[in-house]
Amino acid sequence: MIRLAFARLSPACSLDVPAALLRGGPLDCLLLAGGRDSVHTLIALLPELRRRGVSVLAALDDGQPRKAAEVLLAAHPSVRVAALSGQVLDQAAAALAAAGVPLPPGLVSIRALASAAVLARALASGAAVVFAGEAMPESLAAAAALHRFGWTHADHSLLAGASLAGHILAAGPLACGGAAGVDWQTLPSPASIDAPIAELEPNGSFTITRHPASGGEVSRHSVLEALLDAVGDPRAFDTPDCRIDLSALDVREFAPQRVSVSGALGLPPASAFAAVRAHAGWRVTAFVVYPAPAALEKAYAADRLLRERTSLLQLKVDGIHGDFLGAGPGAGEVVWRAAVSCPTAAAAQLAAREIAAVVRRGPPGAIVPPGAASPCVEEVVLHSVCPIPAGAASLAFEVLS
Amino acid sequence: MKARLGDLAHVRASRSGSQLTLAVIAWGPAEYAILARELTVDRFRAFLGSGAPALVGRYDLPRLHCLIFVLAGALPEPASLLLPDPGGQLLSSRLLLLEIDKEPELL
Repeated sequence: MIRLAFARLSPACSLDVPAALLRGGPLDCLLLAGGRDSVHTLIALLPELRRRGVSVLAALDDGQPRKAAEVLLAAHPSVRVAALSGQVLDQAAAALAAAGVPLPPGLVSIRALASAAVLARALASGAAVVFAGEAMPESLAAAAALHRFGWTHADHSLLAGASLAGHILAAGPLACGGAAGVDWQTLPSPASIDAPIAELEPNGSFTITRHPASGGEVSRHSVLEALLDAVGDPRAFDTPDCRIDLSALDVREFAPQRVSVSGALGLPPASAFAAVRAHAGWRVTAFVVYPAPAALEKAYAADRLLRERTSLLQLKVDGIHGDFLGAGPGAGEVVWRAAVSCPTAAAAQLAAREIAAVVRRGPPGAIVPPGAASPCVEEVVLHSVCPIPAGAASLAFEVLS
Repeated sequence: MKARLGDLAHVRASRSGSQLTLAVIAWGPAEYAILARELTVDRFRAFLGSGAPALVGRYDLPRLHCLIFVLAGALPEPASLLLPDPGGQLLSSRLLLLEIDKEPELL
């Protein structure tokens, strides 16, 4: 059996989760995803990770795993670290498009997703920490199992089981009931929820549980929410390592806080895949509260005024959308959410000024909540995953020590 | 006899790229049987209404007591980038309020 846990280190996630997962109970492999800042969390945890014999597989979305490895080595020179290479395909974009890969306009970057096979080889080299660029959590989990159990990359149903464990773990607190639509009013100790643990068996089945002192409730229904999160067609859930069919899956709550998952069917992968980022213009959003009397009418008037101003000034906008949140009979307040899409940053800045001007020029009583960063101007970058030809990326790794 | 969908199931909404997944997870086999019968593709399309993302299909997972509805085109159309709910939480919350016939009408 191998025990896996997953922590996301994006700015929207709690920083205490990796340490809680490490200290709350037995663990064999910690899976991480995040930006380069993740390295600093690892630097702090590394002595304890090594003492407990926990290996680490980390996916970094900045596409520079070697730099992360160098930073870690500078802090802990005796650790054996591996870094994946060959994932950056920006220079190959034209050739990929010519080969029929449906790349979107405004392409910012294209990164081959790491396969479980190359990650497992990096673990087999003796690395205690493996850094990859873009990688699905499913592949991180599959790699840990592939390495531990000696499976081959052709054991597709076994890989499918491990991949689903990674998929459930990647949903974070969901499998422990956090943000799940299951008895949320009575969920025990939600402040202490960290993340679930997967106990993966050599036959590809696994149990989802949590550390004894952590909060939440691991139930059949919370695990199902995590399992079906963003799954799409459940007969053909694609990863770089296999195509997964959930049709014959068996999910059972066999003891308190313990849910077993078995019966995953795996087929050969449909393709290799790449994570694609594309620029899609600029967006301005603002939230303005209009109080009663006539709260909704005021919000409507503000929305009309914004449209008139953008037309009057002939601002370059691609679209304007207004929402009226909380509108209903007798509403004490209505939140006007204004959203404007623009082709350029300059146009977006002008649109932001006009939203602010509506507050001063329009209906009375407008409240812009302090701290709401409103209006907010941001570049829109779309993330997607697209199939790429097998062999388009030459994935490899190097060991630094 | 009618019930709200939320009495029969819970719903997970999630987005992956331009695709939105709504997983309707029945509380048990009896509830699943009702939903599999009543929450047809046509009924779901009517619930979505006009202007909603296109429904790709319904996928049944009877062993798990789940129905999966997949919607395409929720993103990345420029207009939908302005919507407040790319992850489909408003849609899934509204779905919980949908009225479902618990017993088929006798002919």
